[in-house]
Amino acid sequence: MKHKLTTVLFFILIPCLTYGHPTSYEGGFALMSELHPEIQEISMIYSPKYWLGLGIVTMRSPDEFELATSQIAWLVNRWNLPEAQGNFYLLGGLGHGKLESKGSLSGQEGAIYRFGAQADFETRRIYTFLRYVEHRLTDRNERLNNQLAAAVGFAPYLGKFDELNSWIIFNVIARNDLNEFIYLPKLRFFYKNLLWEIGQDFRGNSQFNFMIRF
Amino acid sequence: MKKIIAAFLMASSIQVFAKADKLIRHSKTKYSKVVKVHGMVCAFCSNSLEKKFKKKKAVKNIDVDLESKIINIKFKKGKYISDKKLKEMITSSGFKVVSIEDHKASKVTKSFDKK
Repeated sequence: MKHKLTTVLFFILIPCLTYGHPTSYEGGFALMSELHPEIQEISMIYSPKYWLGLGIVTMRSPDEFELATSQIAWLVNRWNLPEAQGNFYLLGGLGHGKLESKGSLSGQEGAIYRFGAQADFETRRIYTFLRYVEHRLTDRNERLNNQLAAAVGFAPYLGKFDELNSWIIFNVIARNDLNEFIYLPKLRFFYKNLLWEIGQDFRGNSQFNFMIRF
Repeated sequence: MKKIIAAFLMASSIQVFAKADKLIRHSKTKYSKVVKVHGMVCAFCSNSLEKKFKKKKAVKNIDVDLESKIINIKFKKGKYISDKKLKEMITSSGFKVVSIEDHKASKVTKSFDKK
């Protein structure tokens, strides 16, 4: 109980920070993948404007669920400060999902909708991120899955624009289908339009994330 | 009537010469502009600016300095992009333009910072 309370407080107290702006630059595409034994996610986004991301998302958790939805990401507000940037997004989408196991909902599949919100704040030295996404079956309005992810990170050195930039990030993920939180320390690198992350959670599962903007 | 036509032709020719002179001067000059931008903290996100400017035929090179939050845009000989267009290009990428400085003249030609 104390352990869970500490983690909840962690979510509340930390500012927002991880990666994955759900939009690209105006006229740009972004391909993202998140590969972890517990969850695999691939998404493709096109941004007609920098504040709007349109795309598709596929997500799969072995023996739990799989889904594919459209995604609309709307950058509600961006704070461009002299030494920092903050963003707040709303997320939505429609698609199809299938639940592998979950009591009375086991084997259920059908149309789903997704909704959520994301916030991030970063300087050249620190990074925070918070995101909540939920998927629901439209006909029964029952929850297929939800996920709350938070991250904090720091840059060990201030990388220049055309150099390899490195970040050390600590990611915490809470999901309704897991009885425990996923604690995931990881390293993030980016160079030009490529971003990749490697990490390993406290249970020894490795994660590899990749993103390209073009 | 003749006087009116003569005056009109005179005025038109002055305008034509003025434009031609401006063009000749531009064709002999290499311009660069230094733009101060807010919100430019991440190289991965700022990459969009480089991509956008490099597509422009007038642009020879672009340097992004995350430390000073400055973009230095160097133009090809005799070519340039107006301040208004520059501001539009940067704001449509999701950043805030604070000022645009003519590098050659070394003076702030336009400030967008609301104080």
